[in-house]
Amino acid sequence: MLLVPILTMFFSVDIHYAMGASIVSVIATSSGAAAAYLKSGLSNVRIGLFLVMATTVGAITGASLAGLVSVRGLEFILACALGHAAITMARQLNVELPGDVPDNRWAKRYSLEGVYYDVPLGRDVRYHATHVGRGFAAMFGAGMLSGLLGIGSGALKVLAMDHFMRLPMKVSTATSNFMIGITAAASAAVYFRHGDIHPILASPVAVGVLIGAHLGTRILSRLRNVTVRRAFLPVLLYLAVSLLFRSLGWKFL
Amino acid sequence: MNSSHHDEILRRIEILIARVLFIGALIAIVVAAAGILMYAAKGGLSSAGPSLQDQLRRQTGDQTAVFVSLSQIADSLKNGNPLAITEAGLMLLLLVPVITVALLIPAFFKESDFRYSAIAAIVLMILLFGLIHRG
Repeated sequence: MLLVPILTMFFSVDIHYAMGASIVSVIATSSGAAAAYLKSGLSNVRIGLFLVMATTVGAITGASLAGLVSVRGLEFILACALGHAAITMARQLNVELPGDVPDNRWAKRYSLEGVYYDVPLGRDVRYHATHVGRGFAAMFGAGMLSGLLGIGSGALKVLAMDHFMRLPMKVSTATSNFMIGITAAASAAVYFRHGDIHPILASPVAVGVLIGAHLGTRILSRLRNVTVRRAFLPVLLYLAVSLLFRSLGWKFL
Repeated sequence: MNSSHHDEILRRIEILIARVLFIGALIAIVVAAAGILMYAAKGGLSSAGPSLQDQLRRQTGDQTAVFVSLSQIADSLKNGNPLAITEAGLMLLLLVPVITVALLIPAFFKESDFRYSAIAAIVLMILLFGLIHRG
């Protein structure tokens, strides 16, 4: 999500090449981090697979609409969504685990549940999803933005799982990582046919993020859910503000 | 099916998926990097340190630099264009998640989780549609 602005603002790369490189890097990140996440037991393949039904359809829709919809308008919507999310997250900053999560018919039917060993808490944490319908709809939106803007929209996926479906923050983060690669693969072919995937730009970017992702994720399981929230909040705020400025046509530093 | 059995299945499948994703991405990246290194060795990246944007612009004028179809990559590979190797590596990278989803179909099936085997099949169909449709 940060790569497109970095490439266009700091390296003045053409936005289309930046988006092409970004979508490739999303797949590299997802794959590089998946090994560490999946072994730690944090990501939930069932929940991820269930929700990518929504994100992939959204991504294909988004990539197909890319030329027809105003990107500025989209950026504005995204900025508002992220801003709202940042405010909600700021309110629950100190929530380590979701409390009583109501049962949900769909979560039961599709076993959207699991267990992980929480290192800082020193015990197994059992969890299940709620508000599956809302989460599913949010995932379709996240996928659409991913296809339209060439971003992973992992932050939105984390939000849908943490905020609507009330899954533990670390589970949401790790599962979203599993999902972004599959979502990006759905729209990447469209970028490729448009000639946006430039080998000289995309491949060094992909190498860099693969290594970075692999190293970075090793620390997640050792962190507290609260710490992850605190680290995530400034990223959300930065994205919300920079997107808002861009959608209004102002240069953002 | 009780939930601890459920968890166990999930763990086994997760470890399989982790391996496929990581090894697949690694192979793809090595292929892509090899292409870039060969291109650099041929002097493609030299010309007295132009900026990244200049480099891209120069490449865009040259029609062999940007690829838009698999047959174009195949043709360039035959002509010994190292950037075609890089692009082929990137294509391989795009296929890694697709391969992963495809492997989840038999993986869940083997564990008698037919519901999720079917969900994986649906996701695979969506992905294949994304690969072939003209958007």
